[in-house]
Amino acid sequence: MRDAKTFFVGILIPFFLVPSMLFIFNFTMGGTEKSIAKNVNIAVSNKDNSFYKFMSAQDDVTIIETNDSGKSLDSGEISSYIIIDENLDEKVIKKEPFTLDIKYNKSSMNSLLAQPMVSQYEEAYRYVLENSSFKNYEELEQISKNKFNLGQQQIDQESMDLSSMLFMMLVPMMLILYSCFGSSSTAAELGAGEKERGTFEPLLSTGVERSAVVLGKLFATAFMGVLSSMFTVMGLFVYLIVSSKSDSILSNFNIFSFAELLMIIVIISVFFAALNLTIGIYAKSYKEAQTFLMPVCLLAMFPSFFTYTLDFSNVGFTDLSIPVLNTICVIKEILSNSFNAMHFCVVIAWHLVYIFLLCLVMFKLFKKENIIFRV
Amino acid sequence: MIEIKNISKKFKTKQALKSVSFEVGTGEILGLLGENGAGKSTLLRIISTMLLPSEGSAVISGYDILKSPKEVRKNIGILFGSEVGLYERLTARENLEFFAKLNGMSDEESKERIDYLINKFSFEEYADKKVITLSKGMKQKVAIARSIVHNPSVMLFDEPDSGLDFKASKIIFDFMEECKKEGKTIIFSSHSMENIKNYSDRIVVLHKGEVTKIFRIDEYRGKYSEKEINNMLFNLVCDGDENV
Repeated sequence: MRDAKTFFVGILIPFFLVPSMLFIFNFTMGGTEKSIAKNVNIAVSNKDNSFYKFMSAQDDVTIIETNDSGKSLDSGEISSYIIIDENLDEKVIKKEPFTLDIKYNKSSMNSLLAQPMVSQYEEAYRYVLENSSFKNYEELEQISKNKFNLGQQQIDQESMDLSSMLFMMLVPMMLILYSCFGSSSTAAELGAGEKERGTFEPLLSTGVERSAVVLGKLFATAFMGVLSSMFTVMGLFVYLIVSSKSDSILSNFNIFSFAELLMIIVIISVFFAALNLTIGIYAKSYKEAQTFLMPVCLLAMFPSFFTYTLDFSNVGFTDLSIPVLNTICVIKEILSNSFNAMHFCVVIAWHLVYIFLLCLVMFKLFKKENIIFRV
Repeated sequence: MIEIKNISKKFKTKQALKSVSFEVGTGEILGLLGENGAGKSTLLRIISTMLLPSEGSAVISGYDILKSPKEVRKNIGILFGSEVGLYERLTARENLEFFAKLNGMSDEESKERIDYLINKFSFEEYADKKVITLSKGMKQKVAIARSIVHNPSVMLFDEPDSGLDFKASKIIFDFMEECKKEGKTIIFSSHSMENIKNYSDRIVVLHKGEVTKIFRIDEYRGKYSEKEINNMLFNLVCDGDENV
């Protein structure tokens, strides 16, 4: 910790990055949710039916006229487009099944957030029909003009599922990224950097065992990775305390979850330190080390996308043996309050095995003069 | 005492050393002379156990470089050529302290030795400055001090005079003479014929990885003029043939 740059990169940025991202994320999501709750613009395929009248009667729904529903959805003019059964009212009176097909724009946050609300209205319409008595079109029209009060809590819950989903993808990804990035520059510096500056030979010419030099370097590299990831977890913890969202998916996150998360992050940081250092030692120069290390950090990001639809109950021991992927599983279990002690221990054990194997590779590399001196 | 026995070294297709053999006694300074690529640095790296010989071996202070490399390293101090190999974000003193610790010296021992070396090599002024701020010559002096901070019995210097002015160079070679009197064994390489002639007890000339001549400079002084000796050394270094 000899200079301000290390303090800035190793502590300050990790501490503030995740909370800042989550605050921005919640702020923008919250704004969109509020605007959706006030009013949602929709379009329908035909107007001469009871569903159109039902939707028109609702205060928080505005029906927009459009000739091209696809274009209107893409431009954000409407959040949903509902294709109403051609013979809806006839089928309703005859008590026959009918279709209401809701289309939305999957790439638009507005549309995604409006979709649960529109679905709620569809369910409400079906509920009204089932629980009302009507014999002809006039009576059906009368029923359809009733206003319906959707439970705001239910809409919020649906929106929460979306934000939870994004949260569960974003947080593990950031934690894994910092575990990897935290040690990558130190690994390049202590491996290839030392070769380049000529400090490797004097170091190896002392009476110190080469294995001790490797372990010393691993300790120094892991220290930076652990430091960065610890401050990332601490930042997340502080965010949870400050934001104190009662309905948050993380409302069950407590000091034990924090300790579990910290442990798993420390072990993955040491694993990445060992991997990065192995690459750093193998590389000829600092530049070459950085070229090799960058894809490692990018590869570390992918499992957080792969696991985003993962069902924890189906996680097998084979999945738990895959580095990074297994860590993300455990992080998600901790974040979603489904901590599994067996999974946790298996993942820790696998990482210890991988760290040990990487140490053996480093010892071997240290014995090869064409690697150490690149002769 | 250094005993080098038929050392050869091959890097892929390049034969860097061919059956090199010689001995250096206790209290002796041996000068290694040769062109760039003659094998001087490779030989010093093999003696210091940094590289393994393809054939042959060497015994340093009673320890075989292949059988007891750790013991060999404890008994030698080496200055590598080309890069000074100092940690630039540390001060000169911190560099010395770090290597003293790595060599197992106690705090007291290391403080005494470091103060002695700083005074000996005259870098009191910049001992507590970060290495990154020092000139090449200053760094070279620190690097030499670093290589012998643990007071080894065998000293190997690959171009110790590189980047040094006359005064600094004289300080270093005078120190080597003092070490010789204390019974240390010293091998150094240099591109400066004057330094090799003035400070070596014996000279080993390497040409394309082979020892072409081992001699005492005194044997030639008196018989030949300095110009003739210089010509002989030049021919030995460049062609491997003395032709005096």
